Amino acid sequence: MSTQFLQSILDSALDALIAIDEPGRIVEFNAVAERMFGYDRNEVLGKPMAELIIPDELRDAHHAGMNHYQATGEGPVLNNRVKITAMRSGGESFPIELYVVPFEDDENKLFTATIRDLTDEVNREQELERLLKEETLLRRELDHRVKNNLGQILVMCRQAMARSTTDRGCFEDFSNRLVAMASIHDLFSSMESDGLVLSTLVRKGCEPYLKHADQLQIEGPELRMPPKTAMTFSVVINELATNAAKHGAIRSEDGRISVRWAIGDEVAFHWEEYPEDSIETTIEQSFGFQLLESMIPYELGGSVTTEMEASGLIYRASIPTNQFELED
Amino acid sequence: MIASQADTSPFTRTLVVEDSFLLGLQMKADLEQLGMEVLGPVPNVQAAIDMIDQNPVDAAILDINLGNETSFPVAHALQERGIPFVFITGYDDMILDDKLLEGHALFRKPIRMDTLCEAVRRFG
Repeated sequence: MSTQFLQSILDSALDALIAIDEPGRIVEFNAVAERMFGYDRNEVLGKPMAELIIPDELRDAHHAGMNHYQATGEGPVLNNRVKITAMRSGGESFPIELYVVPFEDDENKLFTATIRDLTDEVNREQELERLLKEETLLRRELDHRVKNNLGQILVMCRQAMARSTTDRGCFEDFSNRLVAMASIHDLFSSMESDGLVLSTLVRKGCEPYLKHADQLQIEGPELRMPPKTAMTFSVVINELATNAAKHGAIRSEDGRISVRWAIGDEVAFHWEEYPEDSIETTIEQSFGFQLLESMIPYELGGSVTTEMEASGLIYRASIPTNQFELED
Repeated sequence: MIASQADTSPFTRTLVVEDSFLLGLQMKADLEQLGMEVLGPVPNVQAAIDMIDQNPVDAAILDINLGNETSFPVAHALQERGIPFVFITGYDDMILDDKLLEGHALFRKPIRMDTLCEAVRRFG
C-alpha cells in the first residue's frame, strides 16, 4: 500500500491518531489531531509528545509510566480506555478519552494513541446535572407553594366558619381532608423519581387518627406509584381512617385496622377493621362515603366494594396495575 | 334581550369531561344549579366518546389535561358532529399549542361557574 493511501486512512479517522516512538517522539499525527491540538503535522513530527499535548501537572506521571513500562512491560494505561486531561497548543486543558496500544517489530517500538475530545460531552453532562438540580429546586418550591396555599385556604375557611352558624363537625371533616392533601405534598417533595410508597401513604394517612401505633397493621409488597395515583389513594385512606376513628374500630383503644395489598393482574387493596366490642357499624350516606365509593373507580379506573360486616367495615379496591407505572 | 332568552331556553345538555373526581362533581352541581343538564362528568377520552355516541349532546366542557391523555380526541369528535365546546385548563399557554384551541373559548382554573355557564348557554 502506498504511503499516501495509508495517510488518507489516518486522516479519514473520526478520532485523533498520534504515534510515538520509544523515546516519546511523535512519528504520526493525523488531520483530526492537527485540529484538536492546534499543531501542523510537519511542525510536530520528531518533537517530544509529552511537552506538546500533556499538561504540566501530568507530565511527571506520564514519564514515570513510560519508564515503568520499559522496565517491566506493564502499563495500566495501555489497551484500556482512559479518561484524562490533555492540552492544546495555546495551553488550554480539555478532557479526552485515550486508547493506547503498543506496537513492536524487529526495527521499532511504537505506541499509537486514539484520542477523542470529550469537551462537548462533559459540557452536556454538566448542563444536564445543572438542569436536574434546578428541577429538584423547582419541584420543592412548587410543593411548598401548594402546601402554603392549602394552609391559607384552611385559615380563610376557618375565619369564615367562625362567623357563621355552620356545624363544627362539618368544618373538622373539611379541615382533615385538606390537611391530608397537604401532607401528601411533603412526600412529593422528598421523593425522587422513584415514586411514593403505598405503605408510607397508609401510615401517614392513618397516624393522625390512631390512639396508639399498634392499632394499624400493614401487610403487602413494596408498591410505588406516581403522584396522581398517590393523590387519589391519600384521599381514600383519609376517608377510611376518619370514618374508623368516628364510627369504626379505632374509636376504642382495642380496635385495630388491617391494611393489606397484593399485586396480581390488578392491585388488590384491602382495608378491614377489627373491633373488640360491638360498635356503631353504620356508614353515613355522606360525602365521605361518596369519596370512598367513587374516587378510585373514577380517577384510577378500578372497582370498589364497601361492606359492613358484623366485625366492622371491609373496603376492597381493585386497581389496574398501569396506574402504578412510573414515568421515565 | 339575549340574557332573558338564555334564561328561558330549555336545558342545554352539556357533557363535562374532567379527570378529577372532586372538580367534576362540583362542576356538575354548580352547572345544574344554574339550570343546565349535565352529562357526566367523565374522566377520560373513551368514556367521553361513549357518552357522545349514546346521548344527544348540545355542548361540552373539556378539561384539556386528563392525566395520561388530553381531551383533544374528544374535541375532534365533537367538531365532526358540529357540537360546540369550550376548554378548561390548569396550565399555562406554553403547553397549549394545538390548532384545535383556535376559535374555542379557553377557561383557566379556578373557574367562575357563572362565566362558564354563560359561555355554554351562548351556544344554545
